[in-house]
Amino acid sequence: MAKLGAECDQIIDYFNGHLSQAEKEAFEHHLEHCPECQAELAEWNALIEDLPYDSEPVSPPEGMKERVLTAVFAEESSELNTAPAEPALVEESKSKSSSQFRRSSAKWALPAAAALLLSLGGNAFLYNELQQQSTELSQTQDTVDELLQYVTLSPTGEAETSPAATASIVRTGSEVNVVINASSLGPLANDEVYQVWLIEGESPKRAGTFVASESGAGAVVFTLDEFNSDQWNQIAISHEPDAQSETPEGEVILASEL
Amino acid sequence: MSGPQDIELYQQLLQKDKGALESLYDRYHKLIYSFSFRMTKDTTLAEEVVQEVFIKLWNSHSPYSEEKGKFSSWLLTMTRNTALDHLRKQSSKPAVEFEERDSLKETAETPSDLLEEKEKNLLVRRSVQKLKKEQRHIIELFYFQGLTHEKISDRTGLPLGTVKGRIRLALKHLKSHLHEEGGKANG
Repeated sequence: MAKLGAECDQIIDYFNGHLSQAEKEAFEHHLEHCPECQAELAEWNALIEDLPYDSEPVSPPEGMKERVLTAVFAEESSELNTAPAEPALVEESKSKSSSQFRRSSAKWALPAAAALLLSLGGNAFLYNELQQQSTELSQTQDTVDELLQYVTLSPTGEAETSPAATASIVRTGSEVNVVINASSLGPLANDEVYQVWLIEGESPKRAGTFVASESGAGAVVFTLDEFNSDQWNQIAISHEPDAQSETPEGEVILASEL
Repeated sequence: MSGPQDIELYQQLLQKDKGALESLYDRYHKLIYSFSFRMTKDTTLAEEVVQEVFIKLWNSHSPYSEEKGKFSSWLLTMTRNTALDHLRKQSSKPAVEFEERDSLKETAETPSDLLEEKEKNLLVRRSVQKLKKEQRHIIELFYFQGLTHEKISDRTGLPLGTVKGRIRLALKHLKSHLHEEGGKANG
């Protein structure tokens, strides 16, 4: 029982987010079997309803609304016009040194998606979000990711910037994710986007939409309902006039056999 | 509350309706700012927290759904977690650890549609004020500063094994004060 008590005592550090990932997982395992901790945590969470109101109302600094909304919508404009609900995750690298990961990571350690996106940016916000997401994932994920296929896409046209991209196809439980990591992409105008396609015979299927950062880097993770390694014979990226194209309308800039 | 419900605004926000985000900002920014300032005791940091909360909201990285409880509670949980992240990043903790508040005076006018928030604010603050000083102190360290178990023990001088019990006791008292004060307000 003494051991159980010690585990129960970790609840404070758990609630305040001070546990390492391993400790957190161990505590969550304990929590599943400990009604006392469950009740305690439920009680603490319920206080969220009330305790924030124990704050003296303070008038925010002059101009905060403009600054905050500008910052919020600036994030948005860098992810402009990607089709809603289409990609599982659309993020772009804010890093100026995008070329550093261009072809250097041919043998990625898994789990690919989180680790890859972490490597993309010196963006503290993205980092925090991903930490949070991977924390959330770890609560439900009981599988080990498996890299099904990894390919390097080759430029198909004569673009001035000689774009490059890699694609990883990763199985996570029953889901299959396609992780695209591109660099040296040309600039986009207005509503233009980069669109990833998986091609079965002659028919392309949309597989993620993304935009490029100023430095020409872009990334997208796209979830497939099912993946049969024999089904797809090619992966390609095209430059589309907008995020709505059902078949490639613009120029295909990168492609690889699968 | 007048105007569209939070959940309606949130759904519009998911469709990238900037007006919906602005409405939610107008509705909650003061509460979020006041709470962030209460936690960080720093105007710049508090504004950074507000900004990050609304960026998270807009990008729906951790989407809200009704089974997560009230929207406002979810938003405040996100605010607390964001503020704790910022506090952890700060190498030095706020200089003022615990301030006694000797008055409940309002510092700014409150629009009529925020009456509910204003009332709740007074109710909770009255209830917290009714706690014993050491109970307020432990709630401050545990909840608003989000300290580790060990640091709470250091700051209060309580043995590690006693801390959780004291938090529980303080919260139990707070809850009963809230019931009493709530009963008065409604009666």
